[in-house]
Amino acid sequence: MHELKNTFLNEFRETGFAIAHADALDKLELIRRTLFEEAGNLCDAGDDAAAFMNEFHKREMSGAELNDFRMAIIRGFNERLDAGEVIFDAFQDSLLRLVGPDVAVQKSCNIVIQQPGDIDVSPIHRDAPPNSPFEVVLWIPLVDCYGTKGLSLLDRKGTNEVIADLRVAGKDGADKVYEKARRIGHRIEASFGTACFFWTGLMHVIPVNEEVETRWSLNIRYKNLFSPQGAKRLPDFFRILRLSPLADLAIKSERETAMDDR
Amino acid sequence: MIGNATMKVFYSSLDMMSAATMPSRLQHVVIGEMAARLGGTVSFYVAEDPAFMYEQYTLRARLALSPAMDGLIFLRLQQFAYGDKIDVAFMGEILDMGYEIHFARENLSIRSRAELKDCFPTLYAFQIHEGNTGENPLYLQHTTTDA
Repeated sequence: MHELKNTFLNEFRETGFAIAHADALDKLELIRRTLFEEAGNLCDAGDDAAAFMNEFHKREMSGAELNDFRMAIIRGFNERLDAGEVIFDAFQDSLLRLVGPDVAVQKSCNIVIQQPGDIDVSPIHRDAPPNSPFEVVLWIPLVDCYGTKGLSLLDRKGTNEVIADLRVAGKDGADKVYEKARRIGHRIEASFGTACFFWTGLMHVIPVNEEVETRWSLNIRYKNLFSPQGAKRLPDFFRILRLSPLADLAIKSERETAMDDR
Repeated sequence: MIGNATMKVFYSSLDMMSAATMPSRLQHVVIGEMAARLGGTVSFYVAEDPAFMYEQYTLRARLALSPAMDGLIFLRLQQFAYGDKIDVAFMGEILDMGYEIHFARENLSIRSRAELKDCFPTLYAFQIHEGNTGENPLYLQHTTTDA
């Protein structure tokens, strides 16, 4: 276990990303089951969460109807679960090693439903800037992801190359650079029960899903509470999730002074 | 509740230090949307003199009249952090007068001393990150003086 964690940390340090297995798989199962139950309130979802998600495209939902469906399950999901807390519990050991004991988490967890052939995918981008480079993104597949069903990440070296190319590409040359980014990106193939941790400074590509199954995934960001912030800040984008005993003590002392409530 | 049985009444406090990037008209829109989400409407607004953002004299003068309202909606938390420290004491005074405090940008509500106490770690973290930024007029004064 110790060796596995060291490999994870070394990979992350070297490339900017690494895949970790959940320390508590039951937490991920809880998330998937809750989403599935919320979906079941809106349609006949059957009795198998993974099958429902993988075969979701057969319902032929798209456009505004799909967005309304997604928003409805997100609302129900958020009323029932604190996703930031549950995901932290699922990957607690890896997260604590990366961000330390004083933890801030993104207030809302994003849920992505990527159906086969859907061309409405995010363009190639990196999160930082405008996010802080002191954040880590957790990309969490809720179904097994392979081939174009997953995402594609450029490592640190590839990201630096692409950014350097974009600086000199001009408007007419950007397409070629984006094509290169698609070519050199690392395909992330990850099963349910794992998460891909990646640095916000990495360029990433969401390919058009050319597989025969729908991808359901979550993404959420964590950072050390006291690390530098980006444009997405606390408390509008992030909230405090954990305080170390030392920070807790110090903040209580500050509160006593500020509120005169000793 | 001060308004009718279904509608709360709020005062709004604009942030004049944001006016260059977010004109007053837009601040009214954002704060009005927050008021609607809180089940109310805005009946009056204040805007501080940029020289006295930390002191919030205009708001204090208005509060001294004990206006009939349920609470205040500020554009953002920064309005309490234009000094060296976030002005938790003034928040406490407002709450003691029976008024709620809301922040539109942060979607943050503080309705009682107990909630203020619970919220303190967030306010403190905000102070650490946002204190003495380039938006802070006191900081600007110091750098001007130093120069």
